[in-house]
Amino acid sequence: MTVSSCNAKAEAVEEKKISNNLIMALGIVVPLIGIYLASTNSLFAFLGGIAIIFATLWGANGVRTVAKYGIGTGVPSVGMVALGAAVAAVVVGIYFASKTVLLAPVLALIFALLTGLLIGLSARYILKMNIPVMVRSMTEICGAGSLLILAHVTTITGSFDLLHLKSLSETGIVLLVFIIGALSILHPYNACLGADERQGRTLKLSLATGSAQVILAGIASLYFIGLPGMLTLLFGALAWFVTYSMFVRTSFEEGIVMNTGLIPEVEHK
Amino acid sequence: MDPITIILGLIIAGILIVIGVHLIPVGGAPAAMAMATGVGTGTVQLATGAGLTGLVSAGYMYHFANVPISYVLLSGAVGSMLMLGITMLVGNVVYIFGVGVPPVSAKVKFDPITKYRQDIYVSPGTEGHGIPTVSYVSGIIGAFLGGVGGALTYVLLNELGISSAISAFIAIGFFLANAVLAAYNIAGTIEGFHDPKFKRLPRAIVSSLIVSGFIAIILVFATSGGVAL
Amino acid sequence: MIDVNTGLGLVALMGAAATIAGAAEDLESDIGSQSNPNSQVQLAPQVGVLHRIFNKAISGEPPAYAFYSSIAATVAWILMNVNFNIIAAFAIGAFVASIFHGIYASTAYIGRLASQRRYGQPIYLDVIYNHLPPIMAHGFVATFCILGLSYILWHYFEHPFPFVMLAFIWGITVGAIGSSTGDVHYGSEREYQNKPFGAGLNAALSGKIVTKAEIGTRSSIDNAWFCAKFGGPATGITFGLIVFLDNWRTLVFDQFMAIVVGFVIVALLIVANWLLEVWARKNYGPYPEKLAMLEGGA
Repeated sequence: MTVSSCNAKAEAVEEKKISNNLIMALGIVVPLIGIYLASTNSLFAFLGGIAIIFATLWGANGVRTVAKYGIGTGVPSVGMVALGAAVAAVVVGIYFASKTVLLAPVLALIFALLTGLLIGLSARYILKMNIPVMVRSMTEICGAGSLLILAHVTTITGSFDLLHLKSLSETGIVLLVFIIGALSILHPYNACLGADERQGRTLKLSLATGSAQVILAGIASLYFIGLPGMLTLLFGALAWFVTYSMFVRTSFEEGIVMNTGLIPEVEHK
Repeated sequence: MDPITIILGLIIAGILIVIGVHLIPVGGAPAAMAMATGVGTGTVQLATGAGLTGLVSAGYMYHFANVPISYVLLSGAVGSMLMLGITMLVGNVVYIFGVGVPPVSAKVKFDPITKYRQDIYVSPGTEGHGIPTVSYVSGIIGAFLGGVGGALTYVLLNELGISSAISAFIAIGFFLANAVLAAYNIAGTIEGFHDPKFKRLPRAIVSSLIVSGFIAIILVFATSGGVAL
Repeated sequence: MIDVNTGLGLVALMGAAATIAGAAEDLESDIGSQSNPNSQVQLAPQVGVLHRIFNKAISGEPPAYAFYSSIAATVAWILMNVNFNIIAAFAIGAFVASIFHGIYASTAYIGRLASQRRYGQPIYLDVIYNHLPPIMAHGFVATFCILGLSYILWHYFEHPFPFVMLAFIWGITVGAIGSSTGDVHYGSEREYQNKPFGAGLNAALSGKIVTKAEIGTRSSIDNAWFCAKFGGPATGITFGLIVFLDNWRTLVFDQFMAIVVGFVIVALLIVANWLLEVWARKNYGPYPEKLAMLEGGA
């Protein structure tokens, strides 16, 4: 009885599926606006936090789309490749735009999308992986990775020009950006993996991991922009509290929650 | 160094990494339950662990004055080989003394190096376990190539005039992108160069050629300062 | 540069820190059930085996440890720059990292088990409350030691990579080692303790993990007790040896000899592995079932 009601619930939920196009649009526009606004004044740096959250949402949705097919190497490798390929794109974008700095995020995004497209095409047609969404998802994930890195750079240092990228790299904090970005993109699907995985819940978790990153970006920005970093930290903490509670509440509604107890007997044992 | 050499060098580095990853024996999740030959972890994870340990050694060597580039590359290779060699050795210790199984391959009947009989030592219902000599040697060679590839990326980026921290950052990303391409080609488990899956290597080399080539070209164009918008 | 004697002491200290870090890392991943052995915990409800074991699917161990180490190193770095005491900075950094560790561990457990509703697997709240503190504590120890050895390498040996980057790299390495060595003990032996010693897991038995303890139900904290006897120390020795040998050869020998010594060590490792293989084959012998099959076929 429980099984059938579960299936019915899953189907009802399936109808409400958020389209990938909508998430992609949100994942490109909101981070770009956030990055530009955050770079205007260090007081607005916390707006980069919004960019971080939405870029994570986009990336996590891409990971979910491609990892559902079971690629044989686990979910983490998808998240790692996203950021790994985006690294070069971001550096290239920022170097290219050394005269007109404002172009940097767009250029970085374009280069990341191209790199992702190449990875997706070679995985699909040269390595002959039988995953139809491979090309699109890889492109999306790499694009999200580049926006995520840029949003972090902007939130932490208050700007996205070459000078600030260099100072972020010299301290090594860029590696923090790299790994928290990768983990936040891959964690939502990895943590919700299972037969009853559902897009809405996974994406709620991606909002939570995105906000957790904002807290960390706030901590790191205390070193670069000083007190305005506290704004980022507070904003991140607030967003994290709201989204984390959202995720936990949804999971508790959908799962079987017990305070404690022995293992229940299963009928088909 | 002139830009063309650097582009070619980066492509070679990418290909070295891809070949290296194919040579490292990984059993993925099944190996953690002694159900498959190889190290019980994922392809990307193990290769990255070895490659980055090599990068630390190479970076340390590179900062000495007047050191030949070959020393830096070999230093990266040695760091990588040490990491993988010790990990595989202790992995075997755990298989032999913790689980009580001899290291054995299920893909071949006789070990190509030691000529030992394999199939009767495979415990029932599994596809081999542990790291036999042939896989061990294959892994060491793989770590050597991966270490050289990672160190070469780092050295070339430094030669481009990028600071050592950004170079290492890009080298890590470059390593990961290539390792994941190789892992997609392997799809789970590989025992080393004697594994039938090793014949798929050319495909991974071609895809690495395309991806590393693209990254190398845009990197060199952007940083050589010729084009600035 | 520092003189060789001080350097040797520092390298030994790095090795000791690495040993503790490796052991703590492996035990933490056993309590949380992370990485590859967790595939069996994940599979268990599907084959009708419900359990009270933690399911810490944050990600693979290498990215996860790189994550904790980078957070800790960043916090410590910022504190060091305002002239904070270094040890205290490490402790605060590792504490912040362990908080994030706990957050991600809780979402992994809740998320994975909520996705197993159709098999009737409950989310036990007391499992979360009981397991998070030991997970975070072991993570704290491992992260603290990684920060220590990265700091020695960066500050005393003047490594050109920034401090945070070294912590990141050693985090990836310790995760790769932990999931390659110690986790095998957890996956092959502890999860299938009721199966006879001396065989790999038969593929037909996948997912049928042990869920009963000596008294009552098995919790993942019991797994640390078991794995601390072999898997944990083995992981620690691996990481300690890697850190010690790699830095020792560059410290004691000049640049060319350091490479030669590295190759010699690798050659010795190959021989040691071969001897181990020969020992195991001689003492364990072939499997009787396989020999019987062979004779039946011939």
